[in-house]
Amino acid sequence: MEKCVIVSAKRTPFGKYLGSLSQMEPLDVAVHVANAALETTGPNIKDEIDQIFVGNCIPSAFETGSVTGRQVGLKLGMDVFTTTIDTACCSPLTAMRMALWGMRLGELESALVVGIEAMSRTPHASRQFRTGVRIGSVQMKDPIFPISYPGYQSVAVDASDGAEKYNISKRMLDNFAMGSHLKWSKAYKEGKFNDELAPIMVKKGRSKYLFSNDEMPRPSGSISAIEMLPTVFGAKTTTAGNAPGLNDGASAMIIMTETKAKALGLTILGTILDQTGATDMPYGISWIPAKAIKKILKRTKIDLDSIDLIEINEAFAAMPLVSTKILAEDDEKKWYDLISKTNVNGGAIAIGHPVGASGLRITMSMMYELKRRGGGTGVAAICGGLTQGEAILVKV
Amino acid sequence: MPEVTYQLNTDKNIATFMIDSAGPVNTIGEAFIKDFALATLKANKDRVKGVILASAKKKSFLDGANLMEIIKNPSPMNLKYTVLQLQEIMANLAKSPFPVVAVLTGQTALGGGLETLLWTCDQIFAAPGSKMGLPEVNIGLFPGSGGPETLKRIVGLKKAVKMVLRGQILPVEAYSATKAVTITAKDKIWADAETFLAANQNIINRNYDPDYHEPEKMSLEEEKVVIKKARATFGICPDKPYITAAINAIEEGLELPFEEAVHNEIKHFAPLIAHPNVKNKIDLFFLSTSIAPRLATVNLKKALKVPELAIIGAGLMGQGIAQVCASKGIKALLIDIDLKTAQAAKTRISQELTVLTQKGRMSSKQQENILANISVSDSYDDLKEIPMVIEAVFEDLKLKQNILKQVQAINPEIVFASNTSTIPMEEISAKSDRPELVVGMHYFSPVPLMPLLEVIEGPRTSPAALATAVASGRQQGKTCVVVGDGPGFYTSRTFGVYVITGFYLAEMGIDPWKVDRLALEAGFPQGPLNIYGTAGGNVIHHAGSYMKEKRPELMTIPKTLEKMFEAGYIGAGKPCFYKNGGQPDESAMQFVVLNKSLPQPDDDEAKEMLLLGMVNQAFHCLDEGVIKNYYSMDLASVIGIGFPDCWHGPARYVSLKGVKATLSRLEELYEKYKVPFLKPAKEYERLIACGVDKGLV
Repeated sequence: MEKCVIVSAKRTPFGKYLGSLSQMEPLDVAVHVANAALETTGPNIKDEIDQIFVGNCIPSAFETGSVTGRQVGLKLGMDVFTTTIDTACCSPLTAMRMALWGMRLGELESALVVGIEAMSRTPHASRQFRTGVRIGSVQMKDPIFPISYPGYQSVAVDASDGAEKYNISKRMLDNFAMGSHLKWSKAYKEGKFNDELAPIMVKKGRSKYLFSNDEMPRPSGSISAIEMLPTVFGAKTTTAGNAPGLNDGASAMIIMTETKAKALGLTILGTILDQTGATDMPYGISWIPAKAIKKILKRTKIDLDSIDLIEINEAFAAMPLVSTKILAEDDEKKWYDLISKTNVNGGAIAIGHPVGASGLRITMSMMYELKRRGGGTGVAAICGGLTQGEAILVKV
Repeated sequence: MPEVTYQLNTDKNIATFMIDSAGPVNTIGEAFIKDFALATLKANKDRVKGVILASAKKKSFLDGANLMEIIKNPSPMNLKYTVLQLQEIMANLAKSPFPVVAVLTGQTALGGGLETLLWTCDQIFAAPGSKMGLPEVNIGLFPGSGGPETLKRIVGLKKAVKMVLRGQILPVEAYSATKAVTITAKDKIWADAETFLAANQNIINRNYDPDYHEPEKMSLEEEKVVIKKARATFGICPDKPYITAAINAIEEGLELPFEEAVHNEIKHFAPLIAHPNVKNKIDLFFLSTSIAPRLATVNLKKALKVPELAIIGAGLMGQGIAQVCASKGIKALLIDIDLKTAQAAKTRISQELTVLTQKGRMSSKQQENILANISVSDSYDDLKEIPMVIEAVFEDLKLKQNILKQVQAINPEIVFASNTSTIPMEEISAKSDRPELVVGMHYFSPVPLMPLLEVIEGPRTSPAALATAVASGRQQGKTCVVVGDGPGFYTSRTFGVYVITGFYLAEMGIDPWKVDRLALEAGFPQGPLNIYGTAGGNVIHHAGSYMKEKRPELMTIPKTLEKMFEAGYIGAGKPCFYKNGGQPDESAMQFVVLNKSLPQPDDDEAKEMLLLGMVNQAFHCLDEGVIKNYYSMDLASVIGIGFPDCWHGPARYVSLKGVKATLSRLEELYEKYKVPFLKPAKEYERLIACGVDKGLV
């Protein structure tokens, strides 16, 4: 089977809800991050890309949320086939997995993968205007408050129930949440995010400025302040403090076959050992990362103990905690060990979770950290709405 | 709206500076300073015959600096600039060629507010009910805008030092002996003020008067002795930089003329704001004032109204609870085995109140009202119509269970609150058919003075019973912290560890009285062995043994404690470590069982053990769900059981030292001294795994 590698990985700083990126066209943000990824690999790389894959899960935030990939491609001046895919938060990793299929099948040698989300730009929606409004109120649904699917409870409740099922206290959720901010802060002070960040000129109101750092983290907060926040949407333990915000941001990677990368003389950042998807009951989002990780380790016959770093997207603090607890198989000490290997530079609770962009962020964050540590193997996993999960195994 | 309005009475040519700053109380901030300066300018321009400082607010005259403004930019530079400005506006008014008075119609003048009065006013007219004080040390600062200098000019150095270092707020009657304060009835206070102004047109402000005689003036040598004593009494803990700064400022001021002395205060004052322990104190102030009321997560909608309650057991605690309830307008029925005992208890409350009335802390009318709210009985039949009863009998499970049974037989719907310090709700309610109505209300002694109420939620306590206890506790003016069930709950357990650590340190070879001294140096208000005597050795022994029985892995009883208890060395009238109010009683040494197998800790390590023992026990309580959040942990430890306030509480202490460092220190100490309660709690490991080394609170 063809060996596939990552040769470029960039993301924009993530903006908070109604923050720095909130008045930018999402298409422009996606193009910016794609260009940043393309530029770092040197000139003329555009001609070498065979296909563009875009992951996005709230298309209504775009002016026209259709064939987003093609719209991005044309703005980049790249006339290649594009695929735009929505598997909720799994989107960019599913997009990348499709690129991997193409390369393994021999149809593709390289691909540009983009994840983009602009939650601040999500319009309130009404179906009533189409036929005209007569007497009475108009219903305007906010698709992101809460994030839920017809016929199912909100994801905030699923997360909280998952924590309860696996006997994880609210205190632990809050601890992990505070840790996310503190780990981010330490990494930020050490300049670790410079590898992945592609600062972007933004316009907001009358001002125009270079947006160069994540704006969500609050490392000067405290667990006690998080503890005071009320639970939301009827969940038992989920609060605004142990969940990420509603964020804006984009991420991009260029992946190709090792043969091609070597032929082009590109620096290989990491090797994709494998990718996989998994599903479970629709409420199982908190433990699906564990299921996906178990599946990928089994497929590749790699032992959990030989994994150096883990990234589990902090869709809620419950996800990394429930999933690592499952992986630790009820061994408390092992669980703590796994937690301390997980999201070592902070996660979505601090950095933010632009849902269609996070999958690539956790992968690149882990890859760059492995590189800084002189190499190793890491696994990243993310959960998606109605319980699909993606996992990716990377060796540096 | 200006924060100081200039109102000129053209007939009399007297100006009033009416203070009314934004917010519920008057504070000194940027806007106040600007408006005050402007008013002074106008008064000078109008050549007024006098200025009256007054407040438009009913309860607040001027209550110090705007703390929110200060913490927005907590830099020494910024603070220095602010205080310089404040001193300048005060000096300008004080040096103006007209007399200045203040009129307090039952309001408070605190901190910078009182400093303003002491500096600028020739006379302060105050109606009964007014209060004044310099409480800055309570928020980690000291009065740095002339407070010590101007206060000593009216009360003398000795009293000024005490008032500043204790941060006392006193009723205005306490200042009546000074020549600067006149107590006047509300209805003639304005007339008196105007008469004074008219009669004192050429008065020189006492702070600038070279001929002014400070009361009880001493020689410089004598004054230095006063300072030295203050250092030994108040400045013993090096972790309270605000106390040291205050004493230094006062000492240097002894040899400086007024204006230089007050300027010199800034040098000591401004740098404080950058000190972490000052931040701890300021945060603690906000914790106890603005966060505390939101801490208890109970459904108050379910609370029963308690306009009237009963107290069973008319001992010291029962009397205190009755007094507190009655003073807040709650009718209290005090029940004991016979009417004579109950009536005697009411008489003792009356005697207590009389002392307060004589000291000027309370009017005789208030005393009358309180006593009218207290009735006595010897029959549980009177409980039929009462919504809540507080049981305050001796710590005896059977006794408490029996009382519960009898009470519920008379009134099965009554909320039964147990004022126990150690016995879990689960056990008290074990034999009851209505365990959901049983809740804990753990008061602290002396009840009228201690702000904390530890409310215990048993495993079967209903939300309504819990809410009723919290609501009533708040009505009684208490700060309620809700904790989970378990032997010794949070406070008794953690406090017990402190006292017992003291015994262990003595057994490791540190002189017992030195143990107490080290505790004071570590910032505790009272040494552990001293507490053994004042709280009562039998109480400590009983609680400790109970804890040991329930949690043998966390508690042991030192042999010394056992021996002292057996020999009747239990304090409270009986011998203990101290005699004649604070003199070491060497005879206690005969009971100290030295443990030669353990090394003797050095001073720093001993202090650390006193702090870490409590800290670690607090985290054990967190592990077990007894303590529910870090705010509760810190608040209850400081206001309930004397954890050093300069650290804000156990959670902040760990945050400042680092979680990892705390854990490894506990591991070392546990290994070295084998004291069971130094065995690290579980939470540290979890915090470390999550990447949390600080930021707990």
